[in-house]
Amino acid sequence: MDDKELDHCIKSFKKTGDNLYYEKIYRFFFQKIHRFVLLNISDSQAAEDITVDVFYNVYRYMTKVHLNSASFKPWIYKITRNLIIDYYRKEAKHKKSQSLEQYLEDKQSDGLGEEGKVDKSFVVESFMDSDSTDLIESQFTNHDILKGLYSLPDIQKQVIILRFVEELNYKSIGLIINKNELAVRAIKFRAISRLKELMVK
Amino acid sequence: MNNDKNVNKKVLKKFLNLLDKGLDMKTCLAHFPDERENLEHYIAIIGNFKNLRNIRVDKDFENNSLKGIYLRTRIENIKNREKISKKGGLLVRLRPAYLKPLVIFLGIFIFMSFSFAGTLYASESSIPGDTLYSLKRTSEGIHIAFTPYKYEKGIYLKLLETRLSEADSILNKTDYTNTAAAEKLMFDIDITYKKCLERKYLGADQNEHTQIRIKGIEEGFRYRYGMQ
Repeated sequence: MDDKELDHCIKSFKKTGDNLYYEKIYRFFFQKIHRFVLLNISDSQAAEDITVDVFYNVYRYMTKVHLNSASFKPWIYKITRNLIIDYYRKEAKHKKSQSLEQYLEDKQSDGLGEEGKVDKSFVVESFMDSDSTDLIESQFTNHDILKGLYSLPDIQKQVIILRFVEELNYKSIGLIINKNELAVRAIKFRAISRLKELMVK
Repeated sequence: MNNDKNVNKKVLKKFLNLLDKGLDMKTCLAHFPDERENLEHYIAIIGNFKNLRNIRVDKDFENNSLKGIYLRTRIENIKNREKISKKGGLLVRLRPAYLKPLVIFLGIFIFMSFSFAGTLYASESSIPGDTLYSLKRTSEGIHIAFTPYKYEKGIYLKLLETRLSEADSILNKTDYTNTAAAEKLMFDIDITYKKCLERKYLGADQNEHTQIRIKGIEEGFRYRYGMQ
């Protein structure tokens, strides 16, 4: 779905309320949003609930907010981020939240990449195509990448996911995390430097 | 050692900027032949993140969620409708987002109107030199401005009577020392009286009676304030 089509769907849904337009948007964003939630929350059941909540909120409020293709992406990711924050707040309140170390230990013992909802869906292969960078071979497994990602502070983790996985621009990321573009670049830089320290010893 | 680290940071920043410009990794790497080995780690890390895009969602979950959202919305709508009918329908339904500021505005407006009306009422008994006197004169001006010509007779006669009463009040007040205000009042009485004469608002008896009153006031002011 390109920007033009997304614009058309947003406007048409606002005008007619026809679920067909919502469904197009839903199908286009569902994978992305669920992936973003999964990479932020270790509990796959909670991640599913949050994803559904995101799209329920989108369905309810899309007609009430002035949106276009440029503002829709930051808006939907911001809703997602807020629900993730709410989840962590609730978790902290009920003291049910797992510590990071515990989570990583559990993942390791489970065998990351073999079991669990997130891991099952990984295509474990090198990112480097032989035609693009023939000299460089993939040095890390998905296990390493996830381990590194979960070691980062939340804000760095989210910037990395939004930039490299979801391929959003700095302006959109800034809107999602309430920071300016320079700050987003700085966070990304720190995150990558930290990941290298963690992963390359 | 520290210097080396700084150089690497600079190179990394430049490298990331080139990537942001949309260049592919191989081209970016070619810009830094000396740092190739160091940058390959970063490339591997960034590149591996792209694998995360391969996380796939169960199609059944996607379809069931959509059905769930529609169902949830329908239930929510029914609940809202029930809530509205319980609370008394129309009043709740006609409650837009701007109602609260509107109510606040109306409240302030009504309060201000009452306050102003009260002040205006209080200014009715003021005499020249009082704080509220200017308000009284302004309201008289507005009153005249908005009165049609054929009804002005009553207004001007009332104004003349008001001015004369003010002069009487001043004369009755033994401690009144504002000579300038008294002089101004005498001048106003003169103008209003002349206007009434010009427009023939005063009958013969009324004119005679008014002249006597004005003379009495003039004498009183002359005696007290030494006016000519």
